[in-house]
Amino acid sequence: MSRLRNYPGFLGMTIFCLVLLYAPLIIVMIYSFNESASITRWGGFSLVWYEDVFFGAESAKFKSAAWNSLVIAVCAATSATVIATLAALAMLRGGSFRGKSASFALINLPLMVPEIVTAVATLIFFSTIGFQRGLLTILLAHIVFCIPFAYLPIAARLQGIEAHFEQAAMDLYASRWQAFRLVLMPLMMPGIIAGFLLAFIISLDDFIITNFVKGAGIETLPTAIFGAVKQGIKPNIMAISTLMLLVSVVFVTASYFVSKLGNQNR
Amino acid sequence: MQLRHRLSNTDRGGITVTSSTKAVEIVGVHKHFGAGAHKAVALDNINLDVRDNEFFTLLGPSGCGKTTLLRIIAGFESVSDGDVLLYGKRLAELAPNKRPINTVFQNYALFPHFSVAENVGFGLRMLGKSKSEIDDRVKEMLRLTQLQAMAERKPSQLSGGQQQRVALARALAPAPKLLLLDEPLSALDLKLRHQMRIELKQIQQETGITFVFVTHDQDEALSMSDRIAVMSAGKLQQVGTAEEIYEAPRNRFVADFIGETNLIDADIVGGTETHPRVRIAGGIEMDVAGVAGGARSACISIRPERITLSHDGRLPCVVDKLVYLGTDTHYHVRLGDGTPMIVRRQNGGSDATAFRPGDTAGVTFDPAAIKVLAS
Repeated sequence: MSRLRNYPGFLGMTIFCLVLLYAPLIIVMIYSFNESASITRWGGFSLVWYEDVFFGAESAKFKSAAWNSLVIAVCAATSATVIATLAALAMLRGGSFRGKSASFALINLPLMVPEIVTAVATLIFFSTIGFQRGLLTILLAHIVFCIPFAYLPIAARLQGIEAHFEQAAMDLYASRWQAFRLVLMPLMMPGIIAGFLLAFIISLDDFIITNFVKGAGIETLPTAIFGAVKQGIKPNIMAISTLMLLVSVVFVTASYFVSKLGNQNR
Repeated sequence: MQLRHRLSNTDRGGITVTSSTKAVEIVGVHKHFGAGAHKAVALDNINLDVRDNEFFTLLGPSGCGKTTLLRIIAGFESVSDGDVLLYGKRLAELAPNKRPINTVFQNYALFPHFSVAENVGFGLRMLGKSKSEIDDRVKEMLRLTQLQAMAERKPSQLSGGQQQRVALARALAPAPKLLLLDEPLSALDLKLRHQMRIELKQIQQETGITFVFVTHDQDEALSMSDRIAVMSAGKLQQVGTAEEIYEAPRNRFVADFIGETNLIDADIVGGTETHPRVRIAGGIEMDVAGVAGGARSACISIRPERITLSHDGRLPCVVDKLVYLGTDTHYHVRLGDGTPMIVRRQNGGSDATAFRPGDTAGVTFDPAAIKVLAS
């Protein structure tokens, strides 16, 4: 690692990448506090655009979009976490069964398939079976692509838990279910929470698939922002973006610390 | 539940049993993993009884099948063939959580999210005992293992020795008919290990529970066990008391594995089948006890402490090197025909006749020290 630092131009390259990645974010954050209605000229510090987000002309639209996003994210993350937990148990504690590697590929497929392909395919699927598009179609699509994100931290955690714990529980007269509920699940909990948080944030952020499968008039926060931007960027968009960024950062950080804390406690 | 058996007609390792209750009967147990060309035999026709209230040890090198046998008794592995009985009841039909057997795992497998008291009480809780009954029993177990002060701590806040005790208390709390211990002392340092040997034996006598103890450490086996089963390569080599196994090893493997010994090829020059006359290193001849079975040559075992090294010993030898071990010194010597031998001499005596490498001397031993081994 320390050798890498000695390559000429390494520092410059690093700074260039960091600027490219984070400068736009930082500028959006700064301009969300802009007094002026311009998105390029600084007119002094103010919280007026945050006020506009919550109480302005478009606030009702954003509020309902945010509510939809939240409901979908909670439901999708919960369902995906349950499915991912069961999948991890089957994959790591179920011994060897036919189609094990195929199952593993299937669980992780949404990570590898381009999102636009999934979006189009899901849309075609729903149209073909005549499923009316609305909140439910968004939720179903979200559950599917959230599973691998929930699966990865849960499986990683479970892999680190030795089979001895369940055996010890069963040796002490626990049934299979008691061994899972009283011993294995508490030990898996940091992984389950981390998986849930990750799935939650992935669902909250999603735009492409949501935009394809959502019904007319139903918006989530990302699609609402996209719709607003098409009519010209106003600083209130920057305020909303900043708020979403904050939520994302909080959840991802929480997810990281939960799994780290769990590893220390072992 | 308990079956009183008549006169036991099984006589293994030279011990005669008058009467006893069998806690565990292992009858013709085979275990193999995989199939076809990849088939690996873990246990090959094991027949074995563990008596009630006995400290029984399965001893052998790693990979000999002793842990597999333990896991079969616990219910974590199934047999490929044969039967395991607990007080006359077939175990195959019972799931691990229905067997009145508890295990102390090698790495303890304490539940990290429970306190010491909750760990110890877990088995009773699963058995549906009342809160007050659990509390009383947990207190009793913590007293037995001297952990009263640790009741509210989490396992991660305990030392290795204390964790080991919690694992023991947890396994003893439901008062199992049989306690299985899978190399429970291997993670402890030497001093603690020695101390725990004494404690384990004491606890076994105090509780009266039958212990089946698995180890690869012969000192552990010799110091604690009522009886020992020596295993190698999935086969039972010998069953007997510590003394029987040490003093009367039945074959070359047992003699070599238990303690240190000199294994020497000897010619059989006469005598009867049960009392052959052997010629050692082309030199002295002795009448010894042991089964030669009409063979012309046999492997014999002589323990290093049963040999005396002196200037006027019967078999001339040359001292090669000496290894100082504190309480004694090991002399590596070569006999006239080149056969190497190790002689053990206690230090600290009025030792006027210390030997140096290169000295010529002689070794002497009693015919009773010689064991003729089955090959």
